[in-house]
Amino acid sequence: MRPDSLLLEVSGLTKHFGGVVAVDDLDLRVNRGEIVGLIGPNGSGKTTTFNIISGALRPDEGTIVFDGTDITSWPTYRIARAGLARTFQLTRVFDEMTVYENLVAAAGSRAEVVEERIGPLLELVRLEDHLAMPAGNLSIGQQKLLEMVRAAALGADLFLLDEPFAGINPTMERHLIDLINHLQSEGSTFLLIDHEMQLVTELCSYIYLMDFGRNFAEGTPEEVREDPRTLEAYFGKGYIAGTRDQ
Amino acid sequence: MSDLIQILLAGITIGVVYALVAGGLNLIFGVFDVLNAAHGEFIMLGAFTTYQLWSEGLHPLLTLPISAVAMFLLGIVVQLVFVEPVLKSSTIISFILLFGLGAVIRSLTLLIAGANDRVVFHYQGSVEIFGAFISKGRLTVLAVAVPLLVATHVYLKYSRLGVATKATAEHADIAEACGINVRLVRLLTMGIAAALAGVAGSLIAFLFPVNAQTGFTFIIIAFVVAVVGGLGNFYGSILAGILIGVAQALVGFYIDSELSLGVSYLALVVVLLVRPTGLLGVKAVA
Amino acid sequence: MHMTSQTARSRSKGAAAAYRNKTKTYRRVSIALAALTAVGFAALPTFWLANTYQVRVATLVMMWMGLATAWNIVSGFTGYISFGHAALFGSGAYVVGLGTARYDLELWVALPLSFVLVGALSFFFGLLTLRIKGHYFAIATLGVAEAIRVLINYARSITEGVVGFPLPIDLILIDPKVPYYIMLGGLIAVVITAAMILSSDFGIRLLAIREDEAGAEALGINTARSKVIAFTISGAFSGFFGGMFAWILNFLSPESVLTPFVSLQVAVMVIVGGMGTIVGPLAGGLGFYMLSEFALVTAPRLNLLLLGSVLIVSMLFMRRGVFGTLMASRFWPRGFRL
Repeated sequence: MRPDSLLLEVSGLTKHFGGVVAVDDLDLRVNRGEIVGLIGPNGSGKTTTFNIISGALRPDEGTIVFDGTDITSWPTYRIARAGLARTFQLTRVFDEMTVYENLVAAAGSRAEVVEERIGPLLELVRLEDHLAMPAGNLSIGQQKLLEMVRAAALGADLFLLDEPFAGINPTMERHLIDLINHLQSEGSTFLLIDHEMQLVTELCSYIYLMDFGRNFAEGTPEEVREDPRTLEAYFGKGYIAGTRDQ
Repeated sequence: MSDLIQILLAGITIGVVYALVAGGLNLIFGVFDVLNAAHGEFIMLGAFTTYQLWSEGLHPLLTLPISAVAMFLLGIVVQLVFVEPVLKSSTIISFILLFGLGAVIRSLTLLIAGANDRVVFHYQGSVEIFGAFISKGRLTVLAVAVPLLVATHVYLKYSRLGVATKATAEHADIAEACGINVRLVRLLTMGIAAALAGVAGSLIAFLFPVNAQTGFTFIIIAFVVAVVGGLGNFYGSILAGILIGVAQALVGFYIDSELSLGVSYLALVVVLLVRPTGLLGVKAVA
Repeated sequence: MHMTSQTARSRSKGAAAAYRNKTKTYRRVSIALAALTAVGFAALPTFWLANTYQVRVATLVMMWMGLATAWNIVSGFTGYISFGHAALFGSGAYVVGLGTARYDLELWVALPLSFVLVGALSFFFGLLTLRIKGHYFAIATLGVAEAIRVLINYARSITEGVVGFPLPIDLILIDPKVPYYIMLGGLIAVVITAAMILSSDFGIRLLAIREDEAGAEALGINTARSKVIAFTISGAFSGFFGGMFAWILNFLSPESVLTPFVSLQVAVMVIVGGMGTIVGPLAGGLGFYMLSEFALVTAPRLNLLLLGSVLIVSMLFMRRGVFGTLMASRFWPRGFRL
C-alpha cells in the first residue's frame, strides 16, 4: 500500500528534558512522494520530534536516517542543505528583508536559481508581484506561503511542516494545499503536524499518532480514525470505557 | 595582624557599597533587560544631596533617607521619560541613551556646582571594638549598607511587589497575563535601584571626597561587579562586591596601590573567559 | 487547481528580472554617489583645507569613518554587537608602532602587516566569542579585549606598557598629505568591501543571521562560518586603521588605542548613523567629528552636554539611526540598501 522507497527513517528516538520524557522510543518511516501526518494531543512530543529530526536538538537515543545517510548528529544547516527543510509553528520569515532576499537567502547561490526553481511557485502563491516588499508586511497567510516557497528554494526533498494550517483563513488554506499538492506532484515528500483532522485526512496517505512521546497508532487516515486508541489518546481511557457502557 | 583586619574591613566596607550599586544594576537588568549607563549619576547626586544638606547643618545620617527618596523619585522620572519609550528596542539602544543622559547630568552638575571635591567631614576617628580599631566612617557605612541589603532581600522574597518583581523578571508577558502591572514593577525597580545607588553615594561621601565624576568612575567598577557576580543576579553582586572589594584592598596594600584598580579588570577578564555567566550564574533577579 | 503554464512561468520570471534590474539601477546610483564623494575627498587637501593641522584632522575623521564601516561589517550586518574592536584597532596600532620603532620595519611593510596579523587575530577572536549570543557576546568581546589590553600593558619589556613610546622621527616628518591619501585609500577599500558584501549572497546570509539566526540555520546557512568570516574581515580593516592611527599620532600607549571607549565611540557612531547601512557609519563618523568641532568652537565646556543630548534625542526618536530610519520609512524605495 505504501510506496517502497524509504526517504526518512526514525528509529528508537528518545529525548529527556530533566525528568520529563518528551520522546520515547519513537519510530517513523516516510517514503518518497508520500504526505505523512503526525498527530497527537498537545504535549505529545510532536514538535520536539521535529526539532530533533531537523537538528535543533540532539536525541538521547535513537537514529535518524535520511536518504540512506545517518544525520542524527548533523548540525541544522547541514541537514537543511542535504534536502530536509523545516517550517515553524509561528511563521518565521525575515521580516526586514524583501521577499526576493528571503528567497535568495535560501537558494544561497545565484539569481537564476531563484527564477528557475521558484518562479512557478511564486506565481502559484501569487507572490510574484511582491518581490520588493519587506516580508514582514505580508499577511500571515502569505508569510506561511513564503516560508514554504523558501523551503522549496532550498531544493528540499522532504518538508517537515509544523502546523502549517494554524491560524490562517480558508482561502489561504486552499492556496497552501494547492502548493503542497503541486510540490508533491513534482516529487517532494512531506511530513506534517497539524490538528485540523479534516485537512490531515484530506492530504495525508499515512498517519502516525503520538502520545506521551510514543507511537500510539498508525495507518491510513481511515484506519487511524477507526482505531479506539485515537479516541483514547485525545480524550483519555475513561471516555472509551464510558461510551462502551452506553 | 591588626593591619590585616583593617584591610579586610576596608575591603568589606567598599564591597558592600559596590553591592548596593551593582545590586541595583542587576535588578534593572534582570527585570527589563536594560544596562543603566546613567546609574553612576544616582550615586553622584545622592552624594551631593548629602553634602549639601550636611553643609547646611543636617546630621549626615538624616540626609540618607532624603537622598534615598530624592533618587527614588528621580529614578522613576528617568524611567518614565527615557527608558519606557525604548524598551522594545535592543539593549544597546537604551544603553547609549542612558549613556548620553549620564553625560548630560554630569556636565550640568559640573557647570552648576563646579569641579571641586566635596567631603563630609563628620566621621572622624575610630572606635574600638573587640580590640580592633574601626574607623567611625567605615562602621557607619557598614551599619547602613548591610541592613539595606538585607531589607532588599526581604522585600524581594516576601513582599507582594518583590514577588511580582521576580515574576516580571522571569517572564514579563506571563506576569502581565497574571494581572501584574509590569509597568509599575519596572518603575518601582528603577526607583529602588536608584535609591540604593543614592544611599551608596551618600555613604561614599562619608568616606572619600566626591565630585561630579565620582559616579562615573564608580559605575565602571559596579558594572564589573555585576557581571562577575552574574548579570541579573542580585545576590551575585553582594558576593562579587565583597570579593572584589577585599581583593582590591589586599592588593592595594600588600602589592601596589596602582594595581588595585586592575584587580577588578582581572576579575572581569577571568570570569568572562572561564565562566561568563558569573559566579552565581545568571538568574532572573534572585 | 491549474498547472502553471508557460505564460505564468515567464510572468514570474519577468517579475524577478524586473526586481533585479531595479537593484542594478540602485547599485549604479550608489556607485555614482560614492565615486563623487571619493573624488571630493581626494580634492579636499588641495582645494579646501588651509593648513597641515586641518589635513591631519581630516585624516583622523576618515579613519573613524573607516573604522565605523569596518565595525558595521560584523555588528551592523549580523547584529552581533562587538565591544572588542578596540583591541583589534589597538593591536594594529602596536604592530605598526613596534614594527617601525623596534624592528626597523618600513611603513609600507608594517601597514599591510597590521592588516594581515590583526586579521588572523580577529579570526581567533571571532572563533572564540561568536558562539555566544546576545548581550553575553558583547560582554565576552569586552572581556577578551580587556585581556589583550592587560597583556600588552604587562609585556612591558616589549611594549613599554602604560608609558608608551614614540614612533621613529622620519615618520613624523612626512608631508601630512601622504597619510591623508593612504587613509583615503583605506577608507575607499573598506567601503567597497562593505558594499560588495551587502549586495552579495554572503551579505544576505549575514542579514538573515541578524533577523533570525535559527531560521537562517534552518535554511541551510552555515551561520558559524559566515559570522567568523565577517568578523575576520572587520577586524583586519580595524587593524589597518589602528596602524594608520599609530602613524598619525606618532606616539603609542594603551590608553590611546586600547580602551573600551574606542569601542563605545565606534558603536555610537554606527548606531546613531544607521546600523547595517553603508552610509550610516560614514555619516556617523563624520557627524560625530563635526559635532565635536562645533561644540568645541561655540561652547567648549558644553561639549559633553551637547554630545549627550544628541545621543538621547537620536535614541528616543531614531532608533535605527538617522539613515536606518530614513531607509525604513515609506518614502524610501524598497530593496535599496545604501
